[in-house]
Amino acid sequence: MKMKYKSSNKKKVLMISIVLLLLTAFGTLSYSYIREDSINLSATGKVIAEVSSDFYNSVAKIIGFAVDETTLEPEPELSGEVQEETAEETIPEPEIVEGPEQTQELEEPIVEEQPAEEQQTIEQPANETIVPEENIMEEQTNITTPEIIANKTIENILGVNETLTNSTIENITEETNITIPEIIEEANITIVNETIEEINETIINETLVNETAITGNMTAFNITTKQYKAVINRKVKWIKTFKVDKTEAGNLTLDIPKQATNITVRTGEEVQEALSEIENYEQIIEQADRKEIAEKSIEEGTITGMVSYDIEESKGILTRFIEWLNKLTITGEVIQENELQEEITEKQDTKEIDLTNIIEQAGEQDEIGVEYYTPAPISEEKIISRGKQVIVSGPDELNYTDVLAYTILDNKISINNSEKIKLYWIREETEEQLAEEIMPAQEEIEEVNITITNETTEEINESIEETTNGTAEITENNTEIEAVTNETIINEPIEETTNETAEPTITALAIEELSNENTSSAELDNFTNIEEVEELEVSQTQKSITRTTREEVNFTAYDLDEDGMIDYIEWEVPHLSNQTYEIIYITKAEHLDENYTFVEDVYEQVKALDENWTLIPDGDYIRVAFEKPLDKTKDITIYARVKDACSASENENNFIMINGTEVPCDIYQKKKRIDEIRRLLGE
Amino acid sequence: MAKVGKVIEEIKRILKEDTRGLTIQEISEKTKVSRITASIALAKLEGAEEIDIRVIGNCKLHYLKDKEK
Repeated sequence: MKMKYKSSNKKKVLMISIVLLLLTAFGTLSYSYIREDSINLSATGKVIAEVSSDFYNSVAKIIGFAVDETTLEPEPELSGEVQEETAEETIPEPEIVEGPEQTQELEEPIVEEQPAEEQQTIEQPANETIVPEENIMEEQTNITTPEIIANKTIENILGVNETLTNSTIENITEETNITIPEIIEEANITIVNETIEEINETIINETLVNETAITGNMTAFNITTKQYKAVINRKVKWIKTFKVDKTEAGNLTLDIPKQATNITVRTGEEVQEALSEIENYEQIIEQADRKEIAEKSIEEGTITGMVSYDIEESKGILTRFIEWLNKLTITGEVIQENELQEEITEKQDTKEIDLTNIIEQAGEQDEIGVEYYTPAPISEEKIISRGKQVIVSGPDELNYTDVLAYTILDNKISINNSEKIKLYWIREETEEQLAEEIMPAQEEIEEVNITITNETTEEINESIEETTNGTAEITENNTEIEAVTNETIINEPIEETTNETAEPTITALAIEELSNENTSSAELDNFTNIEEVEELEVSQTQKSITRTTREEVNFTAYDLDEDGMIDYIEWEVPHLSNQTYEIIYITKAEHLDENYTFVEDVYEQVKALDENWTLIPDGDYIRVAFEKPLDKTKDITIYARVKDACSASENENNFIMINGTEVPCDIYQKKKRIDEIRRLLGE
Repeated sequence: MAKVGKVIEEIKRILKEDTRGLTIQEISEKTKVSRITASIALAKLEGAEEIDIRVIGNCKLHYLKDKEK
């Protein structure tokens, strides 16, 4: 055993010496390796000097530790070097790699699987020797991990880099995508708006330039006439603007309507201010207190509503604004009517303003505006059986457009039931117009400019008057009449017109009216919910037929005195001179007095057989309207009962005569009750 | 009990105003109590001989006694 022990010691010493030799050789190699890396990694000269001067001593120390304490604490640098070497040596040999122990040895140096303390001990020397922090990871990778792991790490790093790159690219792409559609949308919206505005302005300009009469050489000026928002019972403000062109010489005059008052001439910036006021004026009217608007009507005496005394007399924003407009700060660029007296000449139909001096004083390309007021459009009201008729009118030649009309109602309909009020625009068309409606059916329907429609309507009215006076048939302005007819056909079905014209079918009610009356007009009461009722009106002397059409118009209802009932409605009149509207209260069941005058709406009381009754006094009527035509299949049973004969007011003795016998009322009522119960029980 | 007491007083007032005779259903609707509560109150009134009851089929009509008139 001793011999074996000695021999084994010899072997052990031999092995140690071999190992020492190997380690010495390896230390030399590793020194050169580290040195190269240090140089490559731009380590400081101090570090390299320390390494070069102390290397052999340190290697010796390391070796000593490695020999004595291999199993206790593996020196990180040593283990790193050994592991690197081991990895390089063991990887090509599959048998060693597959062994479980060898696998552990291989896996131990992997940074990811080592304990945190071990990682620190490995990293610290690396940090000490290789200073730049940015290169620490690369240096650690090269030193402490096998090539495979280093490759994996590099792959991971690359993967991260790739991911980062991708995400960066995606972000940029997303931002780009988001930005581009926004720009496109904005551009689209802007373009559309601008286009619409331009079209509107163009229409207005065309319309009004045609109306403007210009004398002298001012035909060269492009004159634009604009109407401020018109409200009935208030004067309408206008402005005519044009740009100065001094190349046109001579006597320059501008024609304005004869009714024009408060004429003012503006130049330069004042014109733009005035034009901007047009939009402000419209907004102020929209936002104005309706009490104030209605107040004007009451002052004028055109409204006879029940709420007139409820409306406050204080001046509101609208009045103040109009006063402000009238008293607008006058600069040197505004010339008022009193200064223009010499320049204004009244002619038969117009007023003529000589603008020669003003244009001479104005600068080249300056804008000149002529403001004036024309008489207010008015409304006349007439009470009809089921509501009221409102005729909105204005001077023909002024051709007001977009007029705000309103009327005061007498607290009959709840503000929550505004649908019970119907506003109809009543239009009359003659036989000739009806006949003309058929003709364009085979022709192309063209879009008719609003301007043209207005003008032709007036001309057709003139033609109708001629026909009424017994003169020749309508032969003039065929093209324009066709244009109007086109518009009519668009609004109304052609079939209706065809029936009426081909076969002069007159409603039974109309025939009855004709047989009873010799006058040319007959008003039909509309007791149904049909929105458009056609009325044929035959003049026996002139043999002409007119048709009245009712077109429902939207309106806005207000409760000015805040009692929950509608007392004011307003609507827009597209154009004047003379338009008729009817305001109808829609009630499905109404109590009428002996003169068929509306008393109250009793629909809620009588709509169901629910023990809620309504009292119709002797001589009065109840009128019930049905939404659908009635026939034999529809049940129209009317439940009515006599008022209790035993009520104290009518029967002071509390007796009722039944078959000549006086029966006390309480007995009679008990008997009635028992009969009612028996009837319900089916006995 | 206080509730039934109130209902009894309410029923007496209703029957005094309406002498035609009322069913339990009608009384419960007018007093805004359940039919059970109305029945209990009416039973108490019947026990106290303050009301008359007339039976018609499966229906009862309730009247206030004449002495209350």
